[in-house]
Amino acid sequence: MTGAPPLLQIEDLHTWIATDAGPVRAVDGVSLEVAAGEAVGLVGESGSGKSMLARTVMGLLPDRASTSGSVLFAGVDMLTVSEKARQALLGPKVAMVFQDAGRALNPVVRIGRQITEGMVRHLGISRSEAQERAVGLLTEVGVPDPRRRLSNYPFQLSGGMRQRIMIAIALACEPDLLIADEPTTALDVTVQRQILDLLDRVRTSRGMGLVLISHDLGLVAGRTDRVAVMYSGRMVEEGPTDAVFDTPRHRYTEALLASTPSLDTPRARRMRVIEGSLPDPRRPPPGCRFAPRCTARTEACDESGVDVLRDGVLGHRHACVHPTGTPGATALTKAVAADETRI
Amino acid sequence: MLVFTAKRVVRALLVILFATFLVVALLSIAPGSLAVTLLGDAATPDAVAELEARLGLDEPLWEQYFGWLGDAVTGDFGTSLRTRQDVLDSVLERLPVTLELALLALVIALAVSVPMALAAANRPGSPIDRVSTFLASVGLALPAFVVAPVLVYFLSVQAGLFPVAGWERVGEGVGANLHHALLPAIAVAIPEIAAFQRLLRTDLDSTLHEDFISAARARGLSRSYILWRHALRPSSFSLVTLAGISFGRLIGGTVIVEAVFTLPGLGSLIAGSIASRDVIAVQGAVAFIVIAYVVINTLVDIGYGFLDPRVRREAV
Repeated sequence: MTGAPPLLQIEDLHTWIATDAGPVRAVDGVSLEVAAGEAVGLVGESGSGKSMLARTVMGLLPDRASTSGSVLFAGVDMLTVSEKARQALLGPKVAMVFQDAGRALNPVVRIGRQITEGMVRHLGISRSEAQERAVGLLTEVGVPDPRRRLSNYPFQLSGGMRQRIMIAIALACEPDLLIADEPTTALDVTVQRQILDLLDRVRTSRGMGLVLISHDLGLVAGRTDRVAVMYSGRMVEEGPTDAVFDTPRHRYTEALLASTPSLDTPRARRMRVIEGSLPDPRRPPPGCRFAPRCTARTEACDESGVDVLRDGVLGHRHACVHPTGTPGATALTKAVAADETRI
Repeated sequence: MLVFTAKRVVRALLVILFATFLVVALLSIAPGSLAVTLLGDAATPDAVAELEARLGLDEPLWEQYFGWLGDAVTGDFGTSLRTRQDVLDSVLERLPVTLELALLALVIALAVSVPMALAAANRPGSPIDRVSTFLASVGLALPAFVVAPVLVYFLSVQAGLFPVAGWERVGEGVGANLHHALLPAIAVAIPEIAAFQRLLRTDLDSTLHEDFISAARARGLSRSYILWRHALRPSSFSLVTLAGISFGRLIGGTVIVEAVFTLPGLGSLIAGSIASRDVIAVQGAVAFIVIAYVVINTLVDIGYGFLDPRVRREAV
C-alpha cells in the first residue's frame, strides 16, 4: 500500500439484513483495502459474512438489507451511488464470478448472448464485434471450439466449462477488479486447480485486482498476496498471506488452520474440529465473537469492543485478546495441545 | 425436436379419439328417446323406429361411434335436424367469429398482463405492485356477464365509441371488423388479464431470486433489460400453459359474451342447438371444439421446447 489510493477501500462496513426475529448482522464493522493488481484472499466458514461482503460491493443485496460505512471503489461510494452509475461500473470496473456456474448462468439463454450483452451495453460495440471478442475470450479461458459454444445452452456443457464461461463473462469488459466468490466449490477437485490456475493467469496477464473468497484456507494460500479472515461478520485477522499462514495470531485462524487436513497430517490422528457453531448472527456475543468456542477464553474476551484489529508487524493485524505466539499465551497453548492429545 | 413433436402429435390424436367418443356416448345415454323428442308424443311407433334407424340410434354404441367417425374424417358431420344445414358448413361459418374473438382477447390479455406483472415484480411491495395486484384481484372477481353489459353501457351507449352489438366480417374491412370485435374481446379478456397477471407475478418473483438474475445484475445490465430478457422467459411456463388452456376454453366458452353482443359465433350455435335438441349439430360443434382444444394444447406442449431448450431433450 504505497502512495496510490487503493482500488477498493471498504471502511467500517455494516450490512444488516432485516428478519422477523431482528436484524442479521451479516457484515458488522469490516474494513478492507485492495490495491490495483493485488490478490486478496477472504476466508471464513459459511455464514461468516464473506459472500455478503462481496454482494454489498456489487450492490446485489436483497431489498430488506441496510448498510452503513463506505465502500469506495475508484473513488465512488458504491453504497450511495445511483443505480445507473453503479450499473456503469459493474462489468467494466468490477466483475464477479459466482460460486455455482450451473445456477449463475441463465438456463434458457445461449452462452453467446450472456457473454456479449455486457460488452454491447458497456463498450458500445456492435453485436457481431462482441461476438468476435467472445470467441477470443473463450479461447483465453481455455474453452475448446469456442465458436460453436456460443450457440450452446449452459446445460449442454460440463461444470468446469460453465465456470470457465462465467470467468469469460466476468472478463468481458476488462474489469480492474474481479471478485471470485467460492469459484471452485461446486467443481471436481481436478477441475478446481485448473480454474484457480486460470484465475491466476488472467489476473497477472491483465494486471487485475482479485478478491478470492473461499472457506478453504489452503486454496487461498499459494494464490494471494494478502489474506483476511472473517468470523461471524467481523474481521479477525488480516495480513500478508505467508505471515497469516505461518504464524497465525488469532485463535480462530489457528483453529481453522489446524482443522484443515493436509498430506503431512499423520493418518492415525483424528481430524481436529472446532467445537460448537457460529453464534446467532442476530445476537452476537458482546466481545470477541469466537470466545464461546475458544479454548483460550478469559473474562477479558467478553468485554465489548475488544475485537478490534490491532496493528502488527508488516501490516499483519489481528483482533485476538490472547494471540498465539506471545509469551503469556504459551501456557495456554500447551494446555490446548494437551487437551487435543486427549481427544 | 422431431421425435418430441411426433410424440406430442400421436398423443393428441389419441385424446381426440377418446374425447369425440365421449361426446357420442354422452348423447346416447341422455334420458329419453331422441326420436320421440324430435317427432313429438303423438308419433307412431313405426315412425319412431324409422327415425331411429335413420339416425343409427338402434345400433350398439361403438357402431354408432365408428359410423360417426367414418363420416367425420371424410368431412361429413351430418345435417342439422333444426336448420337442415350441413353441420360442418355452419360450424365453419361461425368458427372465424369465435376464433377471432378468442385470439383477440388472448392478445389483449397478454399485452396488458405481461407488462403489469413485470412492473409489479420489479419492485415487490411498491405502490405499482399493490395497484397492479389489486386491479388483478378485482378483474378476477368480475365475470364476463357483469363486465360485458357495463362496458356496453359506458363505452357504447354513453360514449358511443363502439357499436352496441353485431358483427362485421373481416372481408368487409379490417377497421369495421375490429370496431365490432374490440369491445367483446375486452369483455372476454378482463378475467384472463387478472389470472395471467397473478400467475406471472408469482413466477417472476421466484425467478428474480435466482442466482442467474444476480449474475445478470453483476454485469451492470439495466433492470428492464433483465426483466424482459432474462426473467420473463424462464417465468412464463405456467403462463403459456394457462394461456393455452384459456384459448381452448374461450373457443367454446364465449357463449355469454356472444349472447350479450349478439355475435354469430360457435357459442351461440351450440346454445341454440342445445335449446332445440339438435343432437347432430351439437355433436359436430362439440367435436370441433374438442379438436381445437387438443390442437392448441399440443402446440403449447411443443412450444415449451422453444421456451426451454432443456425440454427438447427429455423423453416424455
